[in-house]
Amino acid sequence: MRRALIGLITLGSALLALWFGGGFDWLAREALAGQREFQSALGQTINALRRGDTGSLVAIIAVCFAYGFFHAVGPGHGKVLIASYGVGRQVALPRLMGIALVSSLGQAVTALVVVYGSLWLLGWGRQDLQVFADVTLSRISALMLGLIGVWLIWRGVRHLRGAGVSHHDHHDHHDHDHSHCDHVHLSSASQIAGATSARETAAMIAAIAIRPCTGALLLLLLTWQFGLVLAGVLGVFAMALGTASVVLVVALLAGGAARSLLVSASDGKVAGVILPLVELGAGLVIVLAAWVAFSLIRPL
Amino acid sequence: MRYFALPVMLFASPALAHPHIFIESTLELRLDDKSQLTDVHVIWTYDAFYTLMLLGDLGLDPDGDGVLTANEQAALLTAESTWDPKYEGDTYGIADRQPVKLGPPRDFAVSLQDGKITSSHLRPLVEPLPMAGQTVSWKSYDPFYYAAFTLSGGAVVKGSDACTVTYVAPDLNAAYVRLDGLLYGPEGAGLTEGEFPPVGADFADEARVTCAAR
Repeated sequence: MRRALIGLITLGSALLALWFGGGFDWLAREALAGQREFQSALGQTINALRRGDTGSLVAIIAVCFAYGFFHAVGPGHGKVLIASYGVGRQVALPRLMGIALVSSLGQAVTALVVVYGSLWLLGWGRQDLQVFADVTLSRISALMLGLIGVWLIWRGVRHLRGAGVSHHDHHDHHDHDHSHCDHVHLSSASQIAGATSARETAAMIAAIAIRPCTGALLLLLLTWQFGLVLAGVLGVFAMALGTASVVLVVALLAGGAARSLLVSASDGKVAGVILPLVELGAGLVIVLAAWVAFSLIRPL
Repeated sequence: MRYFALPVMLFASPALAHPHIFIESTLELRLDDKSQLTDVHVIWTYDAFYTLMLLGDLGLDPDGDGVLTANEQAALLTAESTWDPKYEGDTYGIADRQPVKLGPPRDFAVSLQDGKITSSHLRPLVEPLPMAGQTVSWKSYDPFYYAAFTLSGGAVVKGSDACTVTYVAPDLNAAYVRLDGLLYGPEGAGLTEGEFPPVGADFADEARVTCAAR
């Protein structure tokens, strides 16, 4: 089992190294080409719909899914955050994948609310809308992520300070004999891991979902302008599922890494130090990512 | 410590605004009879999605038949030829390590074909550039990479047959590494907060035009 996990993390690291390291050139080129191709296909499909070809409703779903997929292979869409969070807090795989899926779909819902809310209630045009999404919502999202990062750092520090007394801590929960050293550390490791609360999950989802992706906004606006509301709504959800499929893979890799981290840490004698350190590191990564995201927001 | 490497690697991915507009570009380089480069004729074809965005914003082609009336054509031409004063024009040439100075655009033309807008204009050089024995590097790019250009129509030399063109694809890996440096490293110290580094050039195709000495 442990061997399989180590295999998984090695594979994951290799894939990520390919993704962000040497093989990135190839992947970036493919992703860009795919994005270009499907953006054009999307335009052509909308043209067909405008000409009254209702069969294109299926086509738009397929094209949007592909568009979302290729878009998400590029940077952004919460991959860094979900992976850092997953590894840092050793989040259980189903929960992490749930976060990935729900936050992607949440981005679609936000896009719908923002576009239709502002069109109907406020009578905004594309410019106002883009300023609102690209500046205001991006800032809120970055701030929320920064807070989550700070929360992880705070937890890490607290656990580090508690590490010295982890044996003592352990006594409160288990009354086994002391010869099972592994057991001692396993329980202290899962103690740290087990505390992923529903509130924390919700905060993570909200922070990612509040910032809709520009592609979704543009599609909704365009389809609204041409009276193709249904196509726009279906398309945006298909796009979100395409995005989610990429984020899910990242969550899977991060979840595998987190799992093997938990297992190997439990075997060792330093779990009480390593896990809080990882948590701290993940918190730092998220704070930095949030800070960079915030500073990159360009007032239009 | 594989575990620690993971977040670090993930973080190496830049927080880049992905391109949302795709443009196919052709640069026609016009030489006079003294082998001096005088004008660059710039031809851009917008992707079908961006085309629809423009048409939607301008309220053109409401019937969706893909054909513009004369009035609609004129409205599109006006929109395309109205440049923001800060807009540099996305056409960049470098000769002897110096930027080639281009004058204001003129001779705009637009058309809509197969659901894609083609928009062209002429950029006269501020001073004619003698091309004999000279190499000039040309790129089409949006500095902020909101639009991604491909030099798919290439650079075409008109008025001389003594020139050759070679193409250099962007090193995307290096481009991302440089972007990371700008975002997180000391090189980026000069950037003010909220400023996205102008990295478009790193992601652009390059056409190197070399003309034989006479």
